[in-house]
Amino acid sequence: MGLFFQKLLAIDRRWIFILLGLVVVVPTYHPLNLPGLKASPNVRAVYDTIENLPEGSKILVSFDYDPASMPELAPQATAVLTHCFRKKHKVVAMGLWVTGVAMAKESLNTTSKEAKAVYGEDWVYLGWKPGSVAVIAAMGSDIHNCFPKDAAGADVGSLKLMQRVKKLSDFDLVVSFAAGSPGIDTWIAYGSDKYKFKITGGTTAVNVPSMAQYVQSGQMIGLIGAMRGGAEYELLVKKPGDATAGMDAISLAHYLIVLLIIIGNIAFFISRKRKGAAS
Amino acid sequence: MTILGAWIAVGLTLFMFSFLYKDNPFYKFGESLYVGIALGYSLVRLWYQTWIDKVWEVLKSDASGKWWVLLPVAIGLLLLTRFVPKVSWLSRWAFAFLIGYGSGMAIPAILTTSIVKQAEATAKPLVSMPDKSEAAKKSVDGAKAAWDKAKAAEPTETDAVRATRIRYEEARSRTEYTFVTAYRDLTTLAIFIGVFSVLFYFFFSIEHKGPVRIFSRIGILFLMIYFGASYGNTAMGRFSLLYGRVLTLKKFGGGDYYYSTGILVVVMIGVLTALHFKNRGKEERA
Amino acid sequence: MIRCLAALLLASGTLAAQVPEGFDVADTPGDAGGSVVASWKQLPNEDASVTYVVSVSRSKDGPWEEASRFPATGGFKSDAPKYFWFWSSNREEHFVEIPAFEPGEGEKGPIEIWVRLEVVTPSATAATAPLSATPRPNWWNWPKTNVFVFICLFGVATFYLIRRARRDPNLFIRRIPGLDAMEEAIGRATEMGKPILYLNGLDGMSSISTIASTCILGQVARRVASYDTQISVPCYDPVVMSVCQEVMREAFYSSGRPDSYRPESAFFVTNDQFGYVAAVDGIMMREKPAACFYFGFYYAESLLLAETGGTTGAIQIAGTDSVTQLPFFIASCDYTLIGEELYAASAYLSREPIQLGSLVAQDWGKIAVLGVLLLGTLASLARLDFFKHLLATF
Repeated sequence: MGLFFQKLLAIDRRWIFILLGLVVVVPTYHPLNLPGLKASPNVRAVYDTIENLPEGSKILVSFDYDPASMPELAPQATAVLTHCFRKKHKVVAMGLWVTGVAMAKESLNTTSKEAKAVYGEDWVYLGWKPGSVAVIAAMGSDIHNCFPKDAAGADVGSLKLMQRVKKLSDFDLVVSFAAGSPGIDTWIAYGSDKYKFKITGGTTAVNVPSMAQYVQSGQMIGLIGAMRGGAEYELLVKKPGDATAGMDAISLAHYLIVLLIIIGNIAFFISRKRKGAAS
Repeated sequence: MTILGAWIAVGLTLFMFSFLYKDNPFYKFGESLYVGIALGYSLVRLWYQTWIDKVWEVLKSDASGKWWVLLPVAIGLLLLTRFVPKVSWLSRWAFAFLIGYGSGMAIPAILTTSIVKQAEATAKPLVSMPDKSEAAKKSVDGAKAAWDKAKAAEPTETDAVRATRIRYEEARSRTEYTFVTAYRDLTTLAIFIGVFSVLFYFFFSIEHKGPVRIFSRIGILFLMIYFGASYGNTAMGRFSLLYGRVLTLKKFGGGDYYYSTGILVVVMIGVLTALHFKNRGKEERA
Repeated sequence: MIRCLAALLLASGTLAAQVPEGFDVADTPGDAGGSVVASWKQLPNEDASVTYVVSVSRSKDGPWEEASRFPATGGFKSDAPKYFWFWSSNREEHFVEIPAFEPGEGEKGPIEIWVRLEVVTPSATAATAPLSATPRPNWWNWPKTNVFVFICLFGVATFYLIRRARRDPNLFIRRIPGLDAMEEAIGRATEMGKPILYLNGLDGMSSISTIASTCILGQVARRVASYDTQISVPCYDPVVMSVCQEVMREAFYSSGRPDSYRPESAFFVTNDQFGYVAAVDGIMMREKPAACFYFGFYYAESLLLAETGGTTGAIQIAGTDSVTQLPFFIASCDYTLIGEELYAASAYLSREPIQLGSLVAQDWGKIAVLGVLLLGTLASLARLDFFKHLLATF
């Protein structure tokens, strides 16, 4: 028995990769529809904030992520945009990450088309500008100066929606989907604390523990965390998407890792005991 | 173009995954390509959205009125003098400006957000006092009415009904000492002890002896719990990314994209197997 | 009888619309000149049936444009502590913030704003005489005073302690446990005749953790020079490589072993993240170092490095302020310097006055924060909000 656990500790990690690959690939092709997904308080707080805004409220959505974080953040962004368009809120989108531009366009085009939202009246995409902190500071005083043209090259002043929005404090809510820095912490430090707007957002699993402090202190309203948060938001807007579909695979992967950790720990302690007895 | 894009996406995904087996030419190719593309994309974006938008177009439209945009350009160019040893001292002026501007922007903002506001949020009463005011009572009555209305509309406890129940329980916990209040107080106490003990751990000018040592040991416990949560979250994040890639492979592996996934997997396995036997032959000969 | 009726109705506050006392218009305090503030005392017996209407104009005689309209149950100065602080009397005074006028054709800002207040009840309306004020930018941002005080106190403490460290380099810093392990690791490498691998992380020289790492490298290089052990320092950044070469040269010279110094010990690999990892992993597998040191800032490659180092049987000591990578180093390395311990280790080993002074000043800052937290908690327990108000940020 002890020998078995010793061999287990020395197992080639590629076997674990194969096991992990199987538990992710199989549910992708054959969904299990595992039950039990419920909206957590933090995700519900984001949903309620957007739900309770009066129709036609102005929301700034910032796409602060790259393709590496797309599986976690794109479903969140899509679900939130669907919610915003459904409530007939006006969406102004931009980003602090240059690599987020293409994904922002995809999310916005898909959701606006479904909602039949009109560009220039119901939504605007300003694009990306370098500088992160400087961009937020500039937007705080004059968005038109910071973004004289939108992502397509049109004059921002000529867009009907942008005639109502001159600076950050004109927004009723700012939502940032962030994979790191610059991201939610940048928006809070240089934006909401200074220009006094409400802020919420979504982040990747890695950053959830560090963003939680802002939720706890009340500096941001709720937080959509990781793919699970995206799935919860999709549940709330009643539009299952990629995040919900991924819950089976993620759940099984988690079960596998927990099992391996337990087995690994048992193997470790038994081997140590065996070595101690042998010496 | 979409089909070509799909094949490229699948191919590069599989190239990077092949590293899990071992380092190989497919992985090396994919990695070099990624580095080059990421750099090229950033450069093009910077050129068009910084230089052209913020400098070139501005000067073209009003060179005499807006000549000052050349000042930050000059400061930026000074940074490049770092690479010329004779005049590299000029770059210190640019760095001084950057550090001064950066510190001026960052220090008050970070201090406000990460220290003062966090301290304000942490300095809460460790034991909640029930609020017996009329306003609080009205708030409880309002929340109860909302919950009753939601319950009447839905036969089972849906998410919406559950949300109204939670809001009622929260409102009630502010006027009476309930389980929710006790939980909240426990959380406040845990945060208070955690902040204290972790800060104690990071004292370096005081010897960790006696009570300081005890507090710092508690701090290490909190730190390890945080790191465990962070590790778990990171692992969860990585699985999500893996799922995202598998989803892409599934999406582009269908007939619409000419079974790119299947074909590329077979080709790669074939090539890697051939390389394996070729290298093994070489090693045996050596 | 009519007088009695009028008195009755007056007493109920629903008949006559009175003009409130203390109506004043002034520049908004502590702002960038974007608005003015109109304020007035609340009326006796005012209730939701009373509405305040604030109108603005560019001249005393109009034309007037409505700027704000709200019931008397809201709009108190107590809602805006940013401008008026938390005085209890603020609950008895109303206010409205009025944005500045945009300069029109041929106009130059700032433009004087005339403000008129109307009190509207169900049966009557009364208006004050118009007053004016000009929005001007203020030199002092009052809402940020507490942050300014904290920065000043911390700055003064830092300068004082740096000066003290210059006079007395033996300022007490407690020994970091990982440092003992470093000595042990270097000794082990010498005994086994195997090299030491030292990594500086993936940030440039502007990163504090890289600076701390190069300071520690200096001390490690001194030991390595005296024991005549081999050391390998693969670098991610060319500037960091130059600094490491200088640091090591200095260390070898000061140890009296200039002949043992080899400039190629610190070499540039690549500034691509995973390319660097692949190369370093290769070095580990080939050279099988006895000790691996990971000091600096790391990203997602941290576990790849530590796992590979673990398979070679090396002692691994890490130190990083990258919070997201610390769990991986803690799980896979023998010793880990957590966050600020990296800077403390650098200060401890180098005894450089700026590092020593800053570190002790940070400790003082932490004590101040703990004190404020403790006092704030006790004060809020006793329902004394004064302390919380001092910490308020706007």
